Amino acid sequence: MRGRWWVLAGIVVVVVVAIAVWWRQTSAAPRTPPEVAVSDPALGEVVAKARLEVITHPNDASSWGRLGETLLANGLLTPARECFTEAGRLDPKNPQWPYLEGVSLLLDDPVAALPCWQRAAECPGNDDRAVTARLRWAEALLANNRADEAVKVLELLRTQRPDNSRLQYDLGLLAVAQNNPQVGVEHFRQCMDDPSCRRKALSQLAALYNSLGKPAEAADCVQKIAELPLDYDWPDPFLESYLTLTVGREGLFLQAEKQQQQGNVRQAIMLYETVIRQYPDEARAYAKLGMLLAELGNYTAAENVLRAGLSANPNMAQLHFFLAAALFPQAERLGATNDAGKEKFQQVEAAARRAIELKPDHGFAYLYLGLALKNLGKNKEALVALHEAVRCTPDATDPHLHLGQTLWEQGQTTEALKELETAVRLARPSDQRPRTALDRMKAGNKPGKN
Amino acid sequence: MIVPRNYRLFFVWGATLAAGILVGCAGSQPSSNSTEADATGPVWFEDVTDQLGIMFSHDAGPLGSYLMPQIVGSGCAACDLDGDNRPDLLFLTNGGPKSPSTNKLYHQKPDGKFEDVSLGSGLDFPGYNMGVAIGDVNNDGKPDVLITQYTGARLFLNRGGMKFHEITTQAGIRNPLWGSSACFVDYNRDGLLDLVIVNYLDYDPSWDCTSPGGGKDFCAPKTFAGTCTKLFRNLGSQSDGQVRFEDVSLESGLGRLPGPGLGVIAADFDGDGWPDLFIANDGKPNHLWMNQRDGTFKEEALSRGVAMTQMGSAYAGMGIATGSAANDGLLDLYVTHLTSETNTFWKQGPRGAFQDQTAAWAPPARWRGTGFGTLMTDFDLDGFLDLAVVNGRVSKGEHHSAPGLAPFWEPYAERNQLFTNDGGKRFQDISVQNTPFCGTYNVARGLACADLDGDGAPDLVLTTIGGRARVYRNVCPNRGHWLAVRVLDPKLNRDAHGAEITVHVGTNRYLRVNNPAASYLSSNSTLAHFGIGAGTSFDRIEVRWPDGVWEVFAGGPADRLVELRKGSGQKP
Repeated sequence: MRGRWWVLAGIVVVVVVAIAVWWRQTSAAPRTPPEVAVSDPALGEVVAKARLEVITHPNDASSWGRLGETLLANGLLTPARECFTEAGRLDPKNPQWPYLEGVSLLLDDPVAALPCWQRAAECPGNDDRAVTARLRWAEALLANNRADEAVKVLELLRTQRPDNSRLQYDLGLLAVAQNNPQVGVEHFRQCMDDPSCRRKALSQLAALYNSLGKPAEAADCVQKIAELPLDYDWPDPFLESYLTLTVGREGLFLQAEKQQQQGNVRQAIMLYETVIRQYPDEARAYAKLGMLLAELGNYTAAENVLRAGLSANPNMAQLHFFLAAALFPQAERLGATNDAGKEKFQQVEAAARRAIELKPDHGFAYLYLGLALKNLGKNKEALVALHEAVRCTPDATDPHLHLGQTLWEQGQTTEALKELETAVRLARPSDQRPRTALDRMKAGNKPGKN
Repeated sequence: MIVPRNYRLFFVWGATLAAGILVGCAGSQPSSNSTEADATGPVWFEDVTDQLGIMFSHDAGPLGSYLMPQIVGSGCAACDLDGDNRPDLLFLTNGGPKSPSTNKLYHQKPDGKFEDVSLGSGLDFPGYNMGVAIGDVNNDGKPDVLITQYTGARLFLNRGGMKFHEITTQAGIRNPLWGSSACFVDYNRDGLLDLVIVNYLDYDPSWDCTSPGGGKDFCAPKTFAGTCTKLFRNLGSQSDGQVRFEDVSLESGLGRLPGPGLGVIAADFDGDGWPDLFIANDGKPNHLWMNQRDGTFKEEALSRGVAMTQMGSAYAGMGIATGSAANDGLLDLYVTHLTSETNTFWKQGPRGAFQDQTAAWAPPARWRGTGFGTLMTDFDLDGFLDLAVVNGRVSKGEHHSAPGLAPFWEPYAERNQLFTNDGGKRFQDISVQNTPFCGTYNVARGLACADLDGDGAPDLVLTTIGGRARVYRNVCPNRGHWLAVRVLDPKLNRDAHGAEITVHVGTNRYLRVNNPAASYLSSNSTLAHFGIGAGTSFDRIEVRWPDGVWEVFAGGPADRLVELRKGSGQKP
């Protein structure tokens, strides 16, 4: 009888301890959100607000997650990671938290991110987030020579989203890992029109075609890549909202650059203007805004922005260069035969010279200098500048084109021909200016304007 | 069945133990960092910097300006510059043209120590000095020196006696761009060494960049456009006795495709006997320029599988090592990248095509780093090429202090790495036990290799940003047997730059390319070093000379230096 009491005591001990463990894992441990020191007041304010939310609701995974996303969006990776770990502990079925924890590890230790991708992938659900998490996990497995495990993940996704481009791309990678080039070709061909992987898929195809003894097809892929813009990032439902959390000088600037990269010019302009309003000494914003306005043909507005930037930042080479670029079309419109036009060309010359002084290898500044000098009748100096433009940027069409034109105008036809032929070779197919100039020269016509 | 006398207490004790285990497991977090406890295995290198008299300290220029050239660093060269068969050392400095610090030239004395002979050498000048390439441009038997700079390049003719005379302008070397690595290569097989200068970025020093949180930091390369590689064809000595070069960047094709280039290797990758060029680009696809044998090159990195990683990513390419890791007669490529990336190993096979086999050959290392200088060299002389990597960040990370490391550089400091080649199948990380080379945090950049003490085992020289250069003597115990091969072309009066040397030992064959340009911003010994393991002799040596001619030389005992002269071998 007394023996049974001892057995009972032992069972009670185990049960009590088990309850304590469960309680510890699921109870509201009074954890403090990480302290973060930032120098940007706008960022500091946003972080403080998110921290307060966590302090007020320490058991709320969303509060921890929001703080983590704010920190992650602004590049504060280590404290972000702590937040996601805690959010994941409080809300273990939500793939958001391990996924973002993995993202926070990518810059420091991508191998350490593997368990995070796995946890995210194993969360229940079949929506876009679940699919993205599983694709990310499969890619991590492939990158770490675990193709056999990747197979299972990808085959499951194939039944769920067979037409998904990213899945097709990953299946192509799997085929490459398994030494099945022909299968790889089939998969990459299925996704090669997707803007998120056009270049990547064509790159893979080029290598595969070459290995299959099809050099013409490989060359065709390489040719196509040369005409394409950079791939967009894969759509990522986990990161859609966090990108809008970038704040402060750097955050706003990055948002503006991102909009610009994606071709959203109007949004980019608005954001650069916001940066300038909030941070009037941010020289880069003036430079980028000035350049954008010039590209839109709004040269006067560009000039105003750039001059404003220069008043605060007189030693920034790009501001001087973009000013030269914004002034030149205005000068051309006025023409070199009147005083107003001459004065404008002289302003171009001054801005270009200052850009070169600050950055001695500025090929395009030399180009504008050369063009300004030519219009001012200083032909010898113009040639020197244009030669420097070619030496600094031999891969660009315009320096060769304008050097060729100028040499032709001055009767140096042999060298002119060489430069124009180079310009033709370098020009994109849509740019017919060098071809037109070369044809005119060969036809014995007088030099024209390009 | 044996039952404890007091089974009741045993039961409670057992239950408590089980509970304790349960608590312990529930409370623990999985660790993502490998332990460094199992540091077994021999030490391969010892630091002999002070012992040898190398007192060079790199000047990175004024701290806090975050000028990008500062974080790129400078390289070094290990080369016998005065023909006494002992490698000398050249270290570059980067303090800017107004800095009081200059490059340092060290001459190796007969006792193995080094003497600072910089003053009056002609190479002792300040500047933003980046990379160095060594080659005999006028075929006078004396290796000449090319130093790249941020917006420049300077060429020096070797006058003998450790004296150099600048001929940049009269030779026609004009590189207004940011030069990084460079190499001499006879790309047109006319017997004259031509010059390849890899250029980096169209950098604007007035463009400021910040790190997350708002503090200033070095700009990332994606902020600026890449610039083109320059090729200068050697026209030989002219009627006035001066050697001249012609800029053929555009005509050759190299000048048409920019890239933020940092590393360069010249070697024949498709087996046609003509040297090709592999350029590591920083954050953009690499370039593989295939020699078309008509004075031009065609870029084929994409179709040959070496532009990007297997996942389709263009990583930050910095240093390059090449060698036949599996001893299959094909040259592989290893390129260093950022801490957040994995250095990439491209295995060549079939000939002329590459596949990213990083995951198979290079499993996760003990610690990560932003790699720069790297070399594939057989350090333990077992017949398989090992790997050395020197690391240092380009953006701020955790602070790590080290003796002599200025506080400014602590957030950039990392540890170097060593990997042994496991039977031609994979690289195993042996960094943990190699504390002299790998244990100290540094911001390392250049890495060069030479057998400094003539014992047959390759030694290492590295440079750091804002810190001491270091020299490491190879002390690997139980090393295999070795052979050092020098290939000379008597008609050209110099080392046969670009020759391929294959040593045969039984069924094994060991391949080396005789070009000192490799790694990052650095230049290596022109002797080809071979480890041949247990073999005490070699059967024969095959040489493919730079002009494509093959010769075979008879075998002999190992553990010596062999000099092979073109024309004195047998036709195969």
